[in-house]
Amino acid sequence: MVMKRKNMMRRNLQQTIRKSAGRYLAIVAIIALGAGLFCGLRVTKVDMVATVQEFTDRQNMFDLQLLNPFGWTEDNVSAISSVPGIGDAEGGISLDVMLRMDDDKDKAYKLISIPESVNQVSLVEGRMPSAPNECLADNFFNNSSIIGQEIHVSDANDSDTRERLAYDSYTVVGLAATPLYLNMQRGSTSIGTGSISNYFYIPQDGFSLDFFTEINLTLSGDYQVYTDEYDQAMDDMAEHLKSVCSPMADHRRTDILSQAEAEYADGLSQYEDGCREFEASKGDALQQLADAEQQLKDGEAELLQNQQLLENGKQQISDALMEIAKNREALRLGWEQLKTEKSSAYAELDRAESDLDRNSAQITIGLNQVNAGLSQFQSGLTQIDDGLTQLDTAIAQIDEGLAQIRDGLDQIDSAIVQLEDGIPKIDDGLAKLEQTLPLLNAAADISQKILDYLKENPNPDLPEIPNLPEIPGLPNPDQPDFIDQLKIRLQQVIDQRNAAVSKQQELIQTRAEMISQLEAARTQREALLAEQAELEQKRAALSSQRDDLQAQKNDLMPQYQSLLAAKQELESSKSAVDSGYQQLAARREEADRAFSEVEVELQNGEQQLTDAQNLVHQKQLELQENEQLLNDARQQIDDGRAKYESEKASALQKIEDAQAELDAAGADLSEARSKIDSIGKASLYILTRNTNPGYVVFESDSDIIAGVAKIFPVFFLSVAALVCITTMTRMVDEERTQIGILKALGYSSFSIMGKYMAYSGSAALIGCAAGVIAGSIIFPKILWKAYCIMYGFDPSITLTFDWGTCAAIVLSYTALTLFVTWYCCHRELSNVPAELIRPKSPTAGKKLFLEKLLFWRKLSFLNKVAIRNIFRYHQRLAMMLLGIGGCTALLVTGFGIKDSISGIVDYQFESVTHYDQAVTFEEIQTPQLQQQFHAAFDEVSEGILFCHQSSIDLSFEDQTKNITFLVSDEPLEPFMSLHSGEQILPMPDNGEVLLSVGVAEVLGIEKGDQIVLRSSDLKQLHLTVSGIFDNHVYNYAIVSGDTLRSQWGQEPEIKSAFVLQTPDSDVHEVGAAISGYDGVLNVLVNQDTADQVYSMMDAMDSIVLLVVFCAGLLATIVLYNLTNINIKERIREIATIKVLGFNARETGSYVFKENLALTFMGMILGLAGGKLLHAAVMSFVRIDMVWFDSIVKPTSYLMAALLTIAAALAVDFVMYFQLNKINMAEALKSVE
Amino acid sequence: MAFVEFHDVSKTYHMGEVKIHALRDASFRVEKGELVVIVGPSGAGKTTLLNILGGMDTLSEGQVFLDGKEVSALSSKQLTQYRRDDVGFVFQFYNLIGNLTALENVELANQICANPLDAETVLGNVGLADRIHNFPSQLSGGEQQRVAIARALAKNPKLLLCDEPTGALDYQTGKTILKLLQDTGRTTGMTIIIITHNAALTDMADRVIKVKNGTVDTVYVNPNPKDISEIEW
Repeated sequence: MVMKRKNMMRRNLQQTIRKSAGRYLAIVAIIALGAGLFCGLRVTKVDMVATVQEFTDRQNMFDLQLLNPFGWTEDNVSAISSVPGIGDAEGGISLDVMLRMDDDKDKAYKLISIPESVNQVSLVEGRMPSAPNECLADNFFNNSSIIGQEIHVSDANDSDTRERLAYDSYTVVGLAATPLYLNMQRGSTSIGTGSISNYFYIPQDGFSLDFFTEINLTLSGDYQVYTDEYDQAMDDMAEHLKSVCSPMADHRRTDILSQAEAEYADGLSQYEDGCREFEASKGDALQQLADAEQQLKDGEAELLQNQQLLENGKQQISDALMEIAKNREALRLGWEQLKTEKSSAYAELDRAESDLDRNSAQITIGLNQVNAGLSQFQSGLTQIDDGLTQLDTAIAQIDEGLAQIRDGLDQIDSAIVQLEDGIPKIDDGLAKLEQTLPLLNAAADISQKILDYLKENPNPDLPEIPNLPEIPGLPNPDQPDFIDQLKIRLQQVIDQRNAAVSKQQELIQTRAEMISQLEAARTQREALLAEQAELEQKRAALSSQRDDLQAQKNDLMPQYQSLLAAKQELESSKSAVDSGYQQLAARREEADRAFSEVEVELQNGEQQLTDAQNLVHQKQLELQENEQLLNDARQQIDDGRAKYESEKASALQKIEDAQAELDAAGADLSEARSKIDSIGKASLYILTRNTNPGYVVFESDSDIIAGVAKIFPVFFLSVAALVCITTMTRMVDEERTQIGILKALGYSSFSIMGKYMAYSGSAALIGCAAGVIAGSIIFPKILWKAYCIMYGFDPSITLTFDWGTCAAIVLSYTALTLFVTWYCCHRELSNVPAELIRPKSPTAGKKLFLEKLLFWRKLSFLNKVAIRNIFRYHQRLAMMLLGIGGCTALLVTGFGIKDSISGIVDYQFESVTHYDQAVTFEEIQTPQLQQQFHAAFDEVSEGILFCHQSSIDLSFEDQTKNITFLVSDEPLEPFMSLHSGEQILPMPDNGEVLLSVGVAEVLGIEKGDQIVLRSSDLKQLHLTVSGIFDNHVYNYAIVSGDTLRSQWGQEPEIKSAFVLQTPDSDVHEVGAAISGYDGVLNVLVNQDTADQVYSMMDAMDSIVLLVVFCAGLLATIVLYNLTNINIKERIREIATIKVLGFNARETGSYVFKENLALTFMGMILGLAGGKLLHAAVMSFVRIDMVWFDSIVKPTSYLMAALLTIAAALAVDFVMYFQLNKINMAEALKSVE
Repeated sequence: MAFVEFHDVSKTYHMGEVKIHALRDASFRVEKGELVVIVGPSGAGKTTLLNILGGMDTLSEGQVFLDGKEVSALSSKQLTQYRRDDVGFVFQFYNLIGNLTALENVELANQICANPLDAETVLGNVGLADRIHNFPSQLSGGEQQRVAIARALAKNPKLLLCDEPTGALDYQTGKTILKLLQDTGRTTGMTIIIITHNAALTDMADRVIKVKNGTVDTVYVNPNPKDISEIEW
């Protein structure tokens, strides 16, 4: 029965695992990752130390090294090897030598004798040397192409060094690694550039030395490297050896001193003998020489006398010739003068004549012109006068016409007046007539009628006469004849009327006539007026014409006068010209006569000169014969002299040689003396392995890994715990009913819990096993590959399996998982079965404090749901924030490490070292040499700083570090900027030193501390630290020249210079140019150093990549697991909203909005946490040569954030399809 | 054509080698405005039938029509739209979103469909006017089912599908829920299909469909549906 139950439970477990494979694998993966990283990082340090242990054991690396300035003898070695506690002891030789490969420059190398037992070399390629002139090369800096090449000992080495080597060149036959140089640093030297470029191993016979420079010892017994026990053992033995070896060193000194004194005494007596002999023979030789010299001098004096006579004769002849030549010259000048005077005189005469001709011609032309002008003027004047006369006549005629017109006008005007008076009178008459006419007409009409009546009625009664008018003069009717009378009277009236009418007619007629006459008179007057105006106009025109003419005439008159004057003048000139012609003829005649006289004189002079010349020539011939005789004599004397000189020179040379020989012997002697005098006290140095830089630095370098290992695993462990909690909680929730049933069936809590314990426990064990195995192999291999950039002694790391660490990992992870499982289960298991069978009441919904805020209402419905859901499940909220935040923090750290590394190189070469070239010279640079160098590179450089640079040991409180020593009298700005943060540091004063921050931090030095600097020849400087400056690459101690002068009493050896180039010049071109400059030993282009450091930094890149990769993996696992569980947990809810008709996109957003919000919140936390994590990691990471600064660039935060979001999106993308696959009907089936 | 029609609908599940016939040649029709009770023992295929009609599951053979639309021919995307606009669901276990208040649960449904009713009004109609800001965990079972009904009604569906709506409720509360459904049908004229294993409920139906062994056994119209208060079981 028991078996069966167990079986059932096991099957149940297998089914559960199969059903939740994703979750199970997530736990396995997260634990594997955490365990792998923890184990890998821990074991890498162990492996690295083991690799060194193995290598140093195999090569029998020294534990102690004995040094003394006088070296050691074979006897010393055997004496020491018998000291108890000493394993092996072997004497060795090492020598710093300037060597040269085929075409290369001289460089400083270390030559080491190939040892047999201690510090054995490890042959990497080629073969071991079989002849004393063969050698092995440094395997780190050379490749197999060097095998077969020759290295040559440079002439630049001093004689001591050359004497210590048996050959001038050695052939490379192989490549070897040595325990003496584990890393790429090769140390310092006092020759060349001050640093060793690499090493060569030669057989001991390759040296010609009768002593050892050092003794290398090993302790008997096995010790673990880098342990206190081992350090103690070395120190104890060193203390013990001090008393053993000191007498040996003293004895060695005494031996050497007495030997030297004996040799010196011999030398001195030989020298003194030589001096005496030399003085004696020197006197004889000088006497012989003096005699010969006297004979020669006598001959020369006689010759000189004859020579003088000859010279006098020659002088006379040459004087005469000179005189003749002078006279001939005078004559020639006379002829020439005559010629020029003659031609100039005649030319002047001709010129005068032609002037006269020209004047006369001009005068004639002028006269002609003047005459023509005059005649023209005269005819013009006549014409003008005629015109004037004509005009005057015309004007007179016009005036006459005008007078006539004026008379006519007067007549017409009087006629007009008469007519104008007449017309009103007629008008008056007419007016009177018109007044009377109607009365007359009326009277006449009645009268007619009466008459007519009367005619018909010859006897009328009076009363019948109608209307007898009131006509005056009517007869009285009483009158008998009244009728007749009446008739007459009436007839009179009628006649009177007729007369009046005809009178009116007449008057009208007259008036019309008068008016027409008036018209005619007026017209005529107008015509006359017009004519008058016209005439007046004409007259005005004529008189202006006349005025013009008059003015013309007035103008012409003065011209005419001046012409007349000109004519007079011309005529007087003409008479002057004529008298000129006469004078000219007289002058010409006089000139002809004078010139012919001079010509005759000159011809006479010429004849006399020719005679004199002939005489001189005769004398000259005589002289030449005498000269020949003299020359022969001189030749004889010269030959004698030459013979004498050569004999004298050889005699003197012999004397000088002898002297020089003596002097050299004297100098050698005094040098030997001073050497003997300067032999110091015997000093003994006992160095432990802890003074070997490669060995010491290796430990601190491997600590970087250990530093990283301290933080990350804890982190991964906690994340694994989180994943485990969520998974197990979910599983217990899911199987709640099952638990209830099992419990109801009578299974014990313990056996039910066993299933979950087995589930998580097995996952933990599988994960740990996988992680520990993979981590122990993969991590050391990857990291070692990175370290091989700096460490070349063994290309493959020694893999170890750290049982302790592995057990700790397995235990801690399993225990944690089991505890978490127990925690998740025990709550549920404590419930009664009835409770468990019922569905768990869902987490109560509740409102958040957020909803009281105003913005809540503005949120969309789905956003509200998302926010409420975020805060509904506290556990999940915590998981997500921790998980995502942790991953982001890891990513920030990973990228930040890279920033801190690459940032420092940029900072170093942009803000600290500004110089472009670091130059090393062969000789100490005097101010004069500095000046020459300045002049040579003035065009391409903005500045050159000469200084002293070497490597030196810095000691502070028992710790020693080899750093770069920089001495300058000038401030280093602008070649190097020394600052601490923002603060610029001044150059140190006398007795002070500036240290770079890297070495200061490693040794714990602070401003104001006392330190000691020890040079390679063991001189010490005691200094106060005046400041610590920011510097990332290499370590520097900077002091002023005064410090050296006052403490060492010597000038700093200026053998280095920094060159700051002009911006447009190419660093490598200038570097090459400086390299070719005479006396330059080495040029270091700063850019090359930068590149080199960059490549070293690549080693760190692989660590960064590792961290980033692990973090990304972690992020994905955590997110996947949490999201997966989230969906499983809420599957009914999701199914419900799907049933409600939410489409795929809406469903996705309902779920993932929450997820993304949590991711985002976690990410923000992670960015902040990443900064802290990064700072913590950087504080553990240290490399000896480089000092890191803890910076994270904004882009790294961005990258970390982006990668986190990318992981979240990727997980959501995968989950999206899972959402779509949810079967609503299945999910909503009644609760189990 | 009737409002709802099933023509020879079959549903077969494949469980590895084994075929399970959940539904076989089921045919029936329902007229618009009817209250239909589908009755049958557990495992008879009631829920499968309802799921197919509600667009939550697909069929293997046959045709299903709602209001002239062939539901059985819709793509999964069209089915989503169909669930969204045309049908309302009421479940035995309410399936309310625990993290949303009563009002919000209703709003959740009506914010995505075409012609929603006002959430508060509907909650008032089901008698929950003063509980609208309570979370499901603060409501009794009957009240939760009322919220579920309100959520279904608020979408203003053509068809209300209720899967054992009283299954998790006590007798009295169950009765009030059924009365709510009956009243809703009478006042709004909505077509309601109720699944139950309780044969007593057939008396309240306009039409009764009996399902047995994965197929429709009998369909009959009840000429005199009783008021729920008159029914006892």
